[in-house]
Amino acid sequence: MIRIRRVGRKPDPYIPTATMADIVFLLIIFFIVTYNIEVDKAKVQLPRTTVRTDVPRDAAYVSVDTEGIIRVSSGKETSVPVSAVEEVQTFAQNVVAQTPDKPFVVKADKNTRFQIIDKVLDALKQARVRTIFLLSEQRTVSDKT
Amino acid sequence: MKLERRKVPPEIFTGSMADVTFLLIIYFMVTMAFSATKGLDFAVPKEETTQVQLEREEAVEVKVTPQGTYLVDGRPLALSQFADYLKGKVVPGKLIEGKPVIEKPVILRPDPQAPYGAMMDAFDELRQIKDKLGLARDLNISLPTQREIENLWGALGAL
Repeated sequence: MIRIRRVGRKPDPYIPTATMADIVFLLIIFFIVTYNIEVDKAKVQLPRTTVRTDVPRDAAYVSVDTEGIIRVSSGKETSVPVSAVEEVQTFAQNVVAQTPDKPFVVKADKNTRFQIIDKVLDALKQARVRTIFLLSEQRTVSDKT
Repeated sequence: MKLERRKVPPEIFTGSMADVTFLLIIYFMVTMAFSATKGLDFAVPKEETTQVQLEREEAVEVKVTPQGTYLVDGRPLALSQFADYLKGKVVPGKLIEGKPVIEKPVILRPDPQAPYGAMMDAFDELRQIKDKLGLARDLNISLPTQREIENLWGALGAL
């Protein structure tokens, strides 16, 4: 029996990684497109609704947490707490003076008493805010008890 | 003896590029906010600076009690009963593109001590009435603030 021996150099083991970069770049593009900077990091339990419309990306935020702490953000920087509802009006007036059509988002905990929300809404109305969004989460079948 | 130099095949090393892009992905994943970006919208009616003509108009009043229950025109109703009640407010004989309409405005008045979530549930239900009853247009829902109500009562009292 003749033993055939392979002549020549053994090829180096090689894993082609060029396509991996393509996939990773695609993922990066996805993240860049869908990236959304969370301007308000207040932890709230949002109310759940069936009707929901998209909040514009550049909207200003007013958040009210369970302890009644109000935070405001013009939509570009992280929200900061304010000491009184009156400050919300002043803040909103400044924002509206720069951008009259600026939409405002009210992000409030569902267990907050309406009294404080009423004051926030009133401050926004007095500041001539034209569109207000009340932030909510999607209502699901399990919510309908 | 002539030594032959072995040719190295031309190659762009892409292994480290994947590392860099993976790092970028991790950064985006960690800092990405999976926050709620949807909600109930309402256009704020423009405040008229000129004198307005006030009329006593019959409206449907939805009150939210501190316990989170609802009173529609004074009657205790569950959210699921709103549609049936509002069916009675359809303008008889009036059709727009073959669909009925409710012209009466709906005023949502939560008690100051009512939970915000209960108000949102009522608001959400009222926004769905158009589809539930097959109406030609959305209900005219207003959410006046306490100050606006006091101003309105003052103005109506002066009439």
